[in-house]
Amino acid sequence: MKKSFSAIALISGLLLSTGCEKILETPLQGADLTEDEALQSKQDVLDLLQSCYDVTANVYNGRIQYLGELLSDNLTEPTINEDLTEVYNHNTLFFNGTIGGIYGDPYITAFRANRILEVIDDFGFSDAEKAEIIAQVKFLRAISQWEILKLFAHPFGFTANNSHDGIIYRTTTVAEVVPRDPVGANYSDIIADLESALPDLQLSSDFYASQDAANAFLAKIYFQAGNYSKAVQHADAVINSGRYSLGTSVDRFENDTVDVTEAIFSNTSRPDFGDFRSGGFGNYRSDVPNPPLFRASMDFYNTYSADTTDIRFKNFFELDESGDEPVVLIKKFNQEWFNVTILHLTDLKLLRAEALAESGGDLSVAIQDINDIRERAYGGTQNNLSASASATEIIDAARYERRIEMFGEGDRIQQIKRRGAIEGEAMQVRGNDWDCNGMIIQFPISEKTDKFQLNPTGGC
Amino acid sequence: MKRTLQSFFVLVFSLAVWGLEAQVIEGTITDKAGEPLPGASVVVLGQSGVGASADFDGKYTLSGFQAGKLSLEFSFIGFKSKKVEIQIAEGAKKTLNVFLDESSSQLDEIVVVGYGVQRRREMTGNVVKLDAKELNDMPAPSFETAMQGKAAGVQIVTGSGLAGSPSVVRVRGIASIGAGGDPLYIVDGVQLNQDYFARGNSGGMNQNPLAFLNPDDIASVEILKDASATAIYGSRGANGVILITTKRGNKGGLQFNFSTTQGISQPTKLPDMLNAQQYLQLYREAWINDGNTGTPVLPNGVMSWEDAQKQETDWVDEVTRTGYKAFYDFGVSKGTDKYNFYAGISYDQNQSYIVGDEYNRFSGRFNGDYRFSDRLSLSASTSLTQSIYNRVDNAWAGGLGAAMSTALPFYPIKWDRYRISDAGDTLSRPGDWFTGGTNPVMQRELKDWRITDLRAVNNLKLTYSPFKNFTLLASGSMDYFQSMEDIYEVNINENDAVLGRGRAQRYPLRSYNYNGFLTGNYDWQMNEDSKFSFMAGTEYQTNYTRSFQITTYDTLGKPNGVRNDVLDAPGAFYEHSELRDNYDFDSVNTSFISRFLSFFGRVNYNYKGKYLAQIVLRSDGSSRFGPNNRFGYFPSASIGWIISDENWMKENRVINYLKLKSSIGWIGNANLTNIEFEARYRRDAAAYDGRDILYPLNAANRDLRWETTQVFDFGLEYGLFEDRITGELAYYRKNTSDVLLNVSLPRVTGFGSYYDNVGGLLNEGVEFQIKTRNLVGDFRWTTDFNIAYNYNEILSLGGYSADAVAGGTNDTRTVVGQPVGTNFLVRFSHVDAATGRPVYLDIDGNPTFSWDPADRVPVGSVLPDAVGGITNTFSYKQWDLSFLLVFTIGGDIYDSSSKRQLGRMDDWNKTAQIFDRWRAPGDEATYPLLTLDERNHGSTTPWINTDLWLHDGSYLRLRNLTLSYRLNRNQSKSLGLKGAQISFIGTNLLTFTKYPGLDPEIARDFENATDRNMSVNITYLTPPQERTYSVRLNVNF
Repeated sequence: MKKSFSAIALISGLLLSTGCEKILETPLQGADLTEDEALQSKQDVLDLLQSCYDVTANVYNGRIQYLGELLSDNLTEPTINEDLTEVYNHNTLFFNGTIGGIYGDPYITAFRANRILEVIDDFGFSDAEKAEIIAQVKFLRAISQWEILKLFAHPFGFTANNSHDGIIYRTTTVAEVVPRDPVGANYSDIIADLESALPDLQLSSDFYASQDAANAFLAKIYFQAGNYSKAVQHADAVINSGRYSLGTSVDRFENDTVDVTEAIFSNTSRPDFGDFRSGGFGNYRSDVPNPPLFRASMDFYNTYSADTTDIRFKNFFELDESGDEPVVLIKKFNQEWFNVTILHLTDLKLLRAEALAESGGDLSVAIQDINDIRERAYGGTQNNLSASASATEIIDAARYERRIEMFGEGDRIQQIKRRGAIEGEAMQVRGNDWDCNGMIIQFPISEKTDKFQLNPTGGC
Repeated sequence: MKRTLQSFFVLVFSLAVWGLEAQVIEGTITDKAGEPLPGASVVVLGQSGVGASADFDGKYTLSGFQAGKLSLEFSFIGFKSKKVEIQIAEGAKKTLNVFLDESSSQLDEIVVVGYGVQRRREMTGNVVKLDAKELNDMPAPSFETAMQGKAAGVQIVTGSGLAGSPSVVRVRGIASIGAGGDPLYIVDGVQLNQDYFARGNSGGMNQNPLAFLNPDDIASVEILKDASATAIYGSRGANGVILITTKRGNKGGLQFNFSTTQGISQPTKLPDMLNAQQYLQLYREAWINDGNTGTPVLPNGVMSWEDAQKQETDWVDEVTRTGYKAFYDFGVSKGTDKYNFYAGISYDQNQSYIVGDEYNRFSGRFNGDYRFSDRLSLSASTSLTQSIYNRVDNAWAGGLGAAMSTALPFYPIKWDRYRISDAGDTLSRPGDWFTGGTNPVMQRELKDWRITDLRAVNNLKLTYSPFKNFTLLASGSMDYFQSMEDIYEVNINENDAVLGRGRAQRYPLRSYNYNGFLTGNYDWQMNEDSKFSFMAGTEYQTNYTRSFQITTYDTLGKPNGVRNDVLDAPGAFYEHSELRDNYDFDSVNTSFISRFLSFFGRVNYNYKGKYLAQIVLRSDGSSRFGPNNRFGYFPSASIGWIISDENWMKENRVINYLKLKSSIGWIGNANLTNIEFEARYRRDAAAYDGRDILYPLNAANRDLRWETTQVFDFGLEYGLFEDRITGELAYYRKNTSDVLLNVSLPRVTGFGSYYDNVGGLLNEGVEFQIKTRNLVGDFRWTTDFNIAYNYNEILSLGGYSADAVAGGTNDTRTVVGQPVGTNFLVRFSHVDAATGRPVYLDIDGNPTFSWDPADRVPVGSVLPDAVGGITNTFSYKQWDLSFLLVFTIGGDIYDSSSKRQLGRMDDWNKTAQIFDRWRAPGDEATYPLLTLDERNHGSTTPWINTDLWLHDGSYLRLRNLTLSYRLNRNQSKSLGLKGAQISFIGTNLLTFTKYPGLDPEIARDFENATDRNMSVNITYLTPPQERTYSVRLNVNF
């Protein structure tokens, strides 16, 4: 009897133990693919790269821009959004879903970019193809994380040696608990990525990484770091290429039926695919039934309202006195959709003008840059700087033009911080010093680990 | 139904007449004390198929047998069987009263364990058995509700007052965080699919996946608690196993049973919201406090101050009612030596007190066994249930939740007048719905929402015994679930495309769960003293869910997407065949396929009937883990010693039974809902700039592995004074390692979260259960008491912060050194008497006017210290009175909605408690000054979570009170019945608690498994439980 039982048990066991592993390998369902299934060809890698542009387009769809704008003195308090009101009030909490969402996207780009770098050798790309892909992913991870650095860390120059906390600059897909890098190291990493990418990128491109776009970013980064000569050098490379012109329209936010001749790098909306990438700018719109979330501040309005000949002011802003208190409506982004111009000639010209003036460079070039902008803004030369304008006049003019030209683009707060940190000016926004705690945005609570310290709480 | 009943009465009457013409034996089956034993059976040995069961009075009538010398066997669960010889002549009538001896306490009771049965006496594990009577003593939408307070160490938090909401069941604390923490449910050997999130938490509720079971079909429920009992289920046993055995035919003639319950439902408590005048008065106060002058401007700008003063709606009254409940169950059964069967049908109409909320269930069951020979038999169990759930939005989504929040008391349901704008446009006409703010009545009336579920649980078992003491059992089963969710929302705005038509949505789901196992059992009597029992087996399970959508096409006929809705539809899918005919749900999406392959074995050793040992080993392989960790191994070992069987104890006058038992084992948990170990990618066509994109969806974790709980158990079973007092005492320690957590990843990783095995978790507790038969004789009184204390602590979290694992949107967190579901909040100190501003405590305990989440500290826990229940049953002649008190000691309730109901004046209505607010310097008040600006409360958000909203969750509740009257034999007979009983039942009649909110027993809607594990006792506009009054009639014929 015992023998029978043992025999049955043994046979059953043998029968059942064969092939069990196979049974337990279940395929992914629906549209899901394993990485082995997903990444099989060169095109698959290019599609993964395209997904980095997809995320980057969403970062620049107005969201990253309005976070900066809210910190600055360009807007009034948002009408209903509590998350964004925290940003406006210079006191963001680590529970802030809106910020969490915007903060996370650039790191999605970084992960995908880094994954491409890890696997690129497996697909038989030629050296040239490989070099260009590597250049594109470095460009994308650099600009993505640069946008985060500007908002979540104090600026370059906040401490003498820039040892203050920056962000984690991601160059790997490995998840590890590490502390924040110093801002100085962040700048070095971003610049190194862009400079190493530069030679392998295509010369220019409307919506993809290019040498012109890398140079423009480098110009902005060096400018922010107070390295004006390098800023001029990179701005020159783009401006002097002759590939871009200011054109006659002051409006860079028309839909894509208008050729924005000064656009160096943009995201793209494709109505033919039902794909629109300017959604974040919808919060400025004053031509829709709901009241806009954002309105221009009276400080901004009063700065420009005296000049009735300024086409930009006339076209883009309107005082609405129908309510209890007057409000300044923004018309600049009153479009259903548009390609968001991320880098443009206006920015580089004003940047070069100010950098040349700050660094003792060729003032005639600076004056011409200012005047190019002004002639377009006023439709004539009546407000041009004189050929003998001083460096200080050039700087003042560049700053004046920059604020109105780049309204809504998130630039204003960076200029305030640069002037505070690099130029030592006593800059304030609504009574808060440029370097107070709340002038940088709090990280989402998800970032806190044993090593990652959040920004100080309590706001300004 | 009426006709059917009449037919059965006629049939029963005919049988009775036929019986009078033949020889008859009748009598009463009682216990030693003379208490009747309803359900006890008698069979005529050697005459196949002849037998009878005792009625409510213990009386039986045996007929249809051949006259002569008979051998009768009387038996009943928990009692020793008794054989009686009797001689009876043809046509004669004899009376034979029999009493049965209780088997050594309840110890000869047969208990269902994993893949078999065991005699309780010989068990080394910790198993609680509840029989049908204990599960049917109160009207319950789902059987698990009726288990509350009846099993030590089993915490049951009944769902909200909504008819289809699920309970939360926890066996010996909570041993998981990120993986499902519910016990495994097995019906007649079929492992059930139990997806609480099949419909997410839409409408503010998860739908109960267990409600398909008709409680009246259940014969018993066994709750397996310790490693000795659960290890046989390996990776799925860590949170306990609940074995449900449905009714089968007992030996005897045809038995008919009909029962019905009719009752009403009311809320245990309703919120006391402000009326319009009160709200406006407080709003004005806030307006003035903020330094404003003039006429206040109301929130959302939908109504002028003057208009608001003319309106009054009692929203709570508009969304609640007295619900009606009706339950009908009819069963028929028969048993012979050759075969037996049980067949039953039931209908349950379950209306809650929420207007529009009604869960109706129609179910049928057939269980049968057929013995081909002494060696071969076949068993089938099949059930089919269709439920129709008419739903309404509730909690945060509408209904009573809206009445407690954003449905302001001056909002009308409908306009009663014309409103003309300054420009002369008609804004509203009399009878138009009010759409300017939350209007739960309109939401309910314009939304037809119905979920139609079909569930079939089927099992076939073949038992073959090739030689003596050896049995092979092959079992195959299928648990099929089909769910159809239909929503229809009618257009009311003139801007909508077609006024009067609307949007019809349909969400079909089908879930398949196949399970098969093969076991071999061998009993080996080695010698007179030593007895072995071996069991080995293998099991395979696979399940998956499919959802369906309509494929859409572009103008060229090329597929361009999928959808679940049809615009401008005439009505819901379920009532319009043209919709069903015209729209084909042809796009199929299959969920992740889960597969398990297992091998297991069990050896029991019994020496001299008093020394017991058991070893169990199970190996589980799961498709949820990668090749590195696919198989897990889960062993357990246990021993038992029946001390009372030792010679030196046998004469003890006090202790008649004493057993010590102990077990240790390692149990697993793999309750993940997708393949998380693998990097998953997805491709989107023409996604950016018209080009395809390919992108990763998750952070892969190739090392993901089994969550393992080491369980140690020590128990003592006792029987005193000839079993007048019986019970059990147990100590356990469950140490969980490799806890599966859905960790919030730092966003710098590129992902929001991923699953990881991190940290450790401890549950340690003591359970005590005692049953005393206080009075015996004519007036009988029995008390059954249990209490379980559980200590829970997170031992480590692998370096992640308290916020890395959040309980959904609720403010519970995981903090090392604290229990799962710790309330992690800023401390509220007091209201500053001078300014009326709230004073908080910063992280160091210093007072501050600023609320900052960085100051959060652990301030409480949602887990109770102890839970239990006490049942007292009194019987006198034909009357029974029983009442069940359940209690929870310790544990905090976080009333998450009160931060708005008692916070900033805004578009939330307030509860009357807000009258205790600061008004002028010097005031000592509970709540701060009224303001429209949260900054006056030190915050930039109105969602100010503090421990001001945290309350002691202890309560004592009169869960059930039942008064029953049983017809005696003559009364029954005169009605042509074998027995009948009528009961008056009240549930949740009284609650004693310090909790100032609605109901201290809270299981809100949850977002996912983590939320369900961590956020019991968090309420967010959760409808309170219901109080019911019912009459139940049960007849046998």
